[in-house]
Amino acid sequence: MSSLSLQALTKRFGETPVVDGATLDVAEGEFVSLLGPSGCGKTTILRMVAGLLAPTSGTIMIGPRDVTRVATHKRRIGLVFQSYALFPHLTVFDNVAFGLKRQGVKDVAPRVAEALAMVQLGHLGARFPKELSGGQQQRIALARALAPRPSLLLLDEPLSNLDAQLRDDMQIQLKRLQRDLGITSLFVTHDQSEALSLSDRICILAHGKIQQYASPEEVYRRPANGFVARFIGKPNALTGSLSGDRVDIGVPLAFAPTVALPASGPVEVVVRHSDVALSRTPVTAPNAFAATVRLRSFVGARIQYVVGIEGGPEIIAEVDANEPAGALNVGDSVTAVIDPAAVYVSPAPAGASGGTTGQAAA
Amino acid sequence: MRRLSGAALVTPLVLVLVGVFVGPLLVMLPTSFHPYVPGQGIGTSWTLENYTVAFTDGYYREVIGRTLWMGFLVTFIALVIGYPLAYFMARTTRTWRAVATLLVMFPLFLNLVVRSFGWIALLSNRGVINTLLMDLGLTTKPIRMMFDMTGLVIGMVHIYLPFMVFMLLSSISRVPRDVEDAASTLSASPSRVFWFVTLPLTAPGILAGCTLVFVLTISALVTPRLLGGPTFKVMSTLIYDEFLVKLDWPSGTAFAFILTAIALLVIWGANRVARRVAGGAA
Repeated sequence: MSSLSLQALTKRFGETPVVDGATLDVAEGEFVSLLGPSGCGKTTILRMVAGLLAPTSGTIMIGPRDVTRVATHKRRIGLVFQSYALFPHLTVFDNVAFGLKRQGVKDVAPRVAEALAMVQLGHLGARFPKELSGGQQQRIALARALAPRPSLLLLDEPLSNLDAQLRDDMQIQLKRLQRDLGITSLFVTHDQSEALSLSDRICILAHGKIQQYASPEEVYRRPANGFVARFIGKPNALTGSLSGDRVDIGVPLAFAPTVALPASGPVEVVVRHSDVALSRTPVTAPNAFAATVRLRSFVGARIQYVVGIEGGPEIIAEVDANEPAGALNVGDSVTAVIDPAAVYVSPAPAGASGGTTGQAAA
Repeated sequence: MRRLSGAALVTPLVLVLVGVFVGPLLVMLPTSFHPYVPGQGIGTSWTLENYTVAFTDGYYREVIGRTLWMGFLVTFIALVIGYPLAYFMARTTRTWRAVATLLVMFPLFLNLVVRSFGWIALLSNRGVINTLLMDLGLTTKPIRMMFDMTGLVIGMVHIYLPFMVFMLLSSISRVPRDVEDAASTLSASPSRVFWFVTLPLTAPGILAGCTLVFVLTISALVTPRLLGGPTFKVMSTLIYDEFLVKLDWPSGTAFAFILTAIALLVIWGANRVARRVAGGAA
């Protein structure tokens, strides 16, 4: 097991930076997710760590070793691909034995058996990949990556080709396996729930830049900027203008500043669906607004409402189906309450056209 | 309903094949079992001699052996030259691929006879290459490259290389890059990635390309005729002469069937091997 350290890692294709000065430390045995929308550079970072792509500048350290210019096959890493990438001409046994043989391990059989036992597929050794289901193929890919005992495990959206039920099972298996083996892991995903539930720390990326690198709770509760606030959880993304210690979104909204803000001017305001409380009776609290229920939809254990704030915008509120607020009907007059600590205000992006550039961590 | 429309769709092709391919073959089959009567043509009695002589007569055996050896050499050389070329084409940029494709295809645009005469101009005793070598003083006597295996193989490789390259190209392009990348993350050096992953995954393409080139080579007529001359014969030129020079139709027909049988045998064998090699891959 080794730690991983990226310093000012940059990759440009032509003039466009795909990864722009990423600096990241992953401790020994830690599970870190690279999370971001498609095109944010997360897979590019992973491929550079694997050595499948050469960085334009910056360094990659695995443990004490600078591997920036080391060829892939000398890095001692395991990589699990989204496409599984099993060798179609080899049996499951030979797939898992591949890395061991290349490392000159003499007696591969027990090591292969051990790796297959980790993913509970010891009985499938003689099969060919095309004879397996998607979930089985993905577990074989994991066993194949782990069999040579790499110092670093890289996972490139390994669960996104599986159906929802299987994905949950695999998530739990993966988490347990990673913890038991204590292997340092870097996990690329665009699925925030996957990242939140699996990771020790999450690195959120946008436009090739790291937006925030912190624990799942921290990222969820204290987003570093507007991008993170909008990306994590289900957000109401609003625009407003600053006036004193409040932000005007049609109604004055109190908030607790988390990032440096200008004295006045346009800002982005994010309030998560789950942070809007609804009550039939009037409430005295900061940020209590009279509102009307306009739509109600049932989403399993929770109820989603679209409510119109009097004199303000329409926002979405999500409440537990068992709460009293779960029984509201369309047309009901309610009080919407928003905790000031759950209001994330950040400067509007340069250009203020709702564009998505220039959202580097403030 | 679906079966019916399927049958309707293949009917024209089947009719054409039966009419112009299977039909004439069947018409010719009896001829190969009649004796050749000099001055009279095809006899009326029945005999197997046209076939047995092909395997007992030293001259005919030599021609058959030479044909197979030529097929093997041309196939082997086309593979050795064609694989790196196809690999380059599959992995290079779009622009380079277009350039290479054009270069590989270009010989196909030229008439076969013109190309063969081009090789004659290059390879003959007083051709470009020998003149150059002698002028440079590298050799005093011309090196014989015509009317023997060397010239024939050079000419045939030139003609059939594009077929090999395009068969290999489609096969190499289909190898998923992720699978090769996976091998290199599993400590396989680039040469081992090629040896243990790329090559086995392209084996069906190699087999298909080799089968095609081999069958085309052993049945080619124009190039052996021009580059091999009247004395250095292969099966196709022999058949041609039996029919049109010696007017010995029964013997020519028998040889034609032997050549067809060899070609079918090679295709059948290659299919069997392909199924084995592909194993789980297909």
